[in-house]
This record gives sequence, structure tokens and C-alpha cells, in this order.
Amino acid sequence: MSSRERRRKIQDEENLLYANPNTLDPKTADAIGFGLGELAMEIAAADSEYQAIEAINIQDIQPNAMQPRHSVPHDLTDIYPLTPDNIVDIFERWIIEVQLEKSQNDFDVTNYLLGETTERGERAEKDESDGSSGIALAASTKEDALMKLVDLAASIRRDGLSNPISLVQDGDRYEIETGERRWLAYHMLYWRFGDGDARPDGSRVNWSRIPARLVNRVDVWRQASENNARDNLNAISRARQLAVLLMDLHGWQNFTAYKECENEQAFYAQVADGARWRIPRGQGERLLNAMGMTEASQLRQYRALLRLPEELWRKGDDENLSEGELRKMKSALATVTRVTKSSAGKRKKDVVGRLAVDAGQWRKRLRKEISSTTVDTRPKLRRLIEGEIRQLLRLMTELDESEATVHSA
Amino acid sequence: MKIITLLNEKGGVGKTTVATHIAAGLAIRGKRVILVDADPQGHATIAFGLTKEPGFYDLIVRNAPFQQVLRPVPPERFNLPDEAHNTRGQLLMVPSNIETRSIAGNISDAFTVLKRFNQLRNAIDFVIFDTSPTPSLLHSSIYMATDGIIYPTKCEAWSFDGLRESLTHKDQFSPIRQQYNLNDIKVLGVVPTMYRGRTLEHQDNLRRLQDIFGELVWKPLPVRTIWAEVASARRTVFSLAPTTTTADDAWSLVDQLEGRIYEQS
Repeated sequence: MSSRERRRKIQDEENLLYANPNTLDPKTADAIGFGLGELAMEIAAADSEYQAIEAINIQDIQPNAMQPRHSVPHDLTDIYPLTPDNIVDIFERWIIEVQLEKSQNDFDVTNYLLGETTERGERAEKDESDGSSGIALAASTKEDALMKLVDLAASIRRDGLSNPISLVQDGDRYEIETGERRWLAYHMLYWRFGDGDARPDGSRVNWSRIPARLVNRVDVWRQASENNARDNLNAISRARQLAVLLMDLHGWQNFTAYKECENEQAFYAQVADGARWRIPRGQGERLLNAMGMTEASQLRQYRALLRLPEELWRKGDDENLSEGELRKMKSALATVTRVTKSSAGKRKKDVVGRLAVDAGQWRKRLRKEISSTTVDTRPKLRRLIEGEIRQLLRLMTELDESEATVHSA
Repeated sequence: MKIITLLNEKGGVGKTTVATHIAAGLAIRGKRVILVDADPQGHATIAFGLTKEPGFYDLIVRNAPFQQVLRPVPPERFNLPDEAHNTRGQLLMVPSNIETRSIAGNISDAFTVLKRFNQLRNAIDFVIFDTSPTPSLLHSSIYMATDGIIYPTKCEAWSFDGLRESLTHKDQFSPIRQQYNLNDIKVLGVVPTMYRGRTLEHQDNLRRLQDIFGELVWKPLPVRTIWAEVASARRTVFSLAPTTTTADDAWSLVDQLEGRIYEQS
């Protein structure tokens, strides 16, 4: 057969193949399995063996320090680093602090986990039926975070763990890729019920072992999609998430390791410089999807959070402040710092700085602070600063109003 | 299950063509074959007109199940024209795309590839790896997995250099494999490709190869335009031009491989 004839023949065959998509389109081909029959079943069997879920001892599991979502408030992890040995201490202190805040000592985790309704539980149920999120804002954030964890543990006890956590093996220990909160919930259940708990449906469970799937390495993209699929991340967690994804895109070798950084924010802040660590060409869409965002400007805004003053960063994380609130506070703080710098001494600056992050009492005290400030006498500079102050006050008013509406709601 | 790797640290020597034809030939002869495209270019993938995603990276790093990654190659594309659907064998493909480049940086131990494919040891007869010319840590992982290596090479100086580099790297892995009680990697053959039998340069170089490797040098594959036709038709020469001498040449590849494998076992 000549080359010319062959070419014609191929053209005809291609037309035929394309006319019958079942034999050509790879996706359809997969769906119908190409009559692989027995082989397809063997491959499926091999897969299910590989993906097998193992029960891993919760004491052998370490959290992943880079995980953007923090499940335990900073105050607690400052005292007790989040390791398996410290978790019971963390729980105990957490509960005490919540009780102190509320000036009551009626909170019994066990009762709650057993599904017996407490006053708090009633309130949560009532709020849930109203469809309002009032409890989250009205209750202290420490209480809120604790109750979310207790709720998760209670639901795992009632219904079981439907989604195994994923772990990376490291010698005889494991690091969490996804599922830090589920792991903490298991710790809570083990702490209260030990290894022979009788569940409501009569089955007995050993809470010291958690179902897990082993993966080869921490995939920050898989972490991101897991985080987006669950409870909404707060603004700081989103900024952390953006930072690790950016680091992944640029290659981890370019950055100082987490453990070697001065504090956790310093680690993420390594990619704060948007001009140096641009989003690589062609990756913008992937990044937006992974972050669950639609606009590139959002990426810029969240990246800017990486440079927040440390106090604001922690406050934003513990109190779940929004990106907008944090941005306003940051600019207000910057203005105040500038105003005080030009006239007052260091002591005063410290006072204002501290006050500035205490959103509740902001407005009143700032007014006082600013009115007592001797502004530079040079007219141009003075106009500039006065303009900043006016804007700052306007922002404060807005912020107060928005807080007031939230509270009244 | 036998794992065979096509290797030469020089590009454009015909690794992909030899890989696709060995894989197709074994499948036509009733074997269950997986062709793994381990080259970020993904040319073995497009050789059969398949899409590049999901690919090797998903299998190794994201731990995607084989069911999601393995793609059956349509029999029309690789099998003899009249017997397209009559074969007992199967040809499955693990596609490759640009992400394959990142596998090396994302796997924690050198046995990842071996472990993954061992899952299929009872279901599959042959796994053929088509590799990229640039050495990377992914190659190490493949060195730990493979039973034998085939080195395609042009009869030209730079290809010989690539061959020499590849052999040095193979030897570096011998002690590591011994440490883990793995057999030494068998050199299954050196395949002279794109051979111009009438030129003195190629004749001399072929002789030089035979002096060094002796029996290991396979029958040379002459340079032919039909290989280019095969590529644009997204088929094998077996399905495109089964009666040509080029098809015979391709069959001789499969014959020689089978010969070595049986000799080995």
C-alpha cells in the first residue's frame, strides 16, 4: 500500500472513530471500560486494597504545623503546644477559661457528649432553628471554638466518623494532612469515655484509634479543598492558606522552614511581597479555585493580611474577624501610630497601639487620645494628619455601627 | 509482572516509539500491559490520542486510584486492523503531563513507584516505563522499581554519550538495590534506532556498539518516514501498516524482548 493510500485510509478510519465517540473519547471509554471485564475488576480490587483505611492510635499522630486552620485558640497553644501529650491539659484549661469568662461552672462536657441537653445546648438548638448565627457572636470566641469541637465530638459519637482523616507516615509517627479537628474530637471522646464506650446504638467503640487513610505527603492543595469544603475559614486562616499555596507554587526550597521561623506569622509572611512572589503565569485560575475566590483583587487583599501587626493577626484569628475589619483596623492602627509618633513619646504610642486592637472600646478612647495629641504645627503636614484622623473616626463609626447591628441582630 | 524501562539520557533517540511498539506488540500477543508515560512531554500519551489528564502525578503523588488514572488504549489504535477487538491482551496507559515534572520533589521514598505498581502484580503482565531524557529523582524511583532496561540509541556520538551516562547511573543503583535484596537490573538490550545502513558513520558506530555490548545489541531499526506517519495517525505501525517491513522490524523488537525475558527466567 502506498503512502498516499495509507493516508486516505487513515482519514476514513479517523472519521469513523470520531463518528462513534464510544470508541474514542477517553472519558466515555473509561465509563464503558472497553470491555475490560475481569481486568477492570482486578484493578478495582487492587485500588480498594491500597486505599484501605487503618485505625491509627491517636497518640501517634502529630498535627501539621503549617495547617492554615487553627482549631485551638492561641492563648492555649502558647502555654501548651499542640502535641498529643498536652491535649488533655488543653481541654481542661479551655473549659476552665470558658467557665471563668461566663462566671459559671456548670459546663459538663460528658453530659453534652452523651447528648443530654444542657442550657447551652438548648440555646444552640434554638439558635439553629432560628437560622441565626447569634450564638457565635454573642458567646465568647473561646467558648464558640470549644463548642464547635464538642459538637463535632458529639456528632462523631452519635453517627460515627464518616470521613477518615488523612495522614502522612513519618517513621513510627504520623502527621495530619487533613482532619485536625476530627482528631481532637477523638481525643475528647477518649478523654471522657476511654476505650470501651457504649454508643447510643449499642456498639462499643475504642476512641484511642481513629480511622485514617495514609497518603505519601502533605498535599497543600488537597488540604485547601478540604478546608473550603468544611466550615468557612476565617480571614487569617485564608491568608495562611494562600501563603502555603503560593509557597508550593514557588517551590518550598525558597523558604525558611516553619520550625525555624520566629513565630507562625513570620513563616507565612515570607510570601507577603507580591512583587517578588508573583502568582506564576497560568496558575491564577487554579489558585482562585483552591481559595474559593473569584477575583484576583481578593488574593491581593488576603496577601496583604500577611503583614498585619502580630497583635492584630492573633486577634483576627481568635475572634474570627473578617478581612474588611482587619484591613480597617490595620489602617487605623497605622494612622494612630503615625500621629503619635510625630508628637508623643514611646509610652503614649504603646498605649494607643494596645487600645487600637481592642475593638470594643476603640472609639471613645481614641477620640480622647487624639484630642490630647499635639499635632505638628507645619500647616501642610497638619492638614494631612487631620484628614487621616477624620477618616479614621469615620471608619470607627462605621465599624461601631456594623458591630452594633450585629449585636442587636 | 515484569517492569521494563526505556532509557537514554539523550532526547530524540526513539524511546517513545520503541516503548509504544513494545507495549502494543505484547498486548497484541495476549499480554496485559500498562504503558507508563513518565516524560512530562506526554508524547507516549498523545501517540495513542489520549488526553493528558489525569496522569502519572495523580497516581503517585495525589494517590488517585488506578481506576481513575489508567486509560484503555482503543484497540483500533494499536492492534492489527482485522483483529482490533479480538485480542485477549489489554493495553492500558498511565498518561503524563507537565505535572510529571513535580513528582520527584513530592515523593518521600524511592519505593513509591514500586509499591504502587506492586498492587497490580497479579493483574498485569508487563509495565513499560517511557522516561524523559533529563535525569531526575523520578528516575531513581523507577530504577528501584524496574526489572530490566532497554536503551534505544542512535548510532551517533551524542546518543552514545547519553547511553554512557545512563549506564553509569544504573550502576550507581546496584549497591542500593542489593541493600534492599532486589535483583540487579538487567540490561535487556541496546536498540540502534534511525539507522542509515548505507552511511559509513553509522556502520562504524554500530560496529563499535557491538564490540562493547556484543549480544545485547538488537537488530537496528532503519530510519523510515512511516514512523512519522504513525505518530500523526496516532497509531502503531501494527495497526497502520501491518504488512510493511517496518512492521516486521517492530515485531522483531517484541521478539527480542520476549527472548531476553524468557532467557532471564
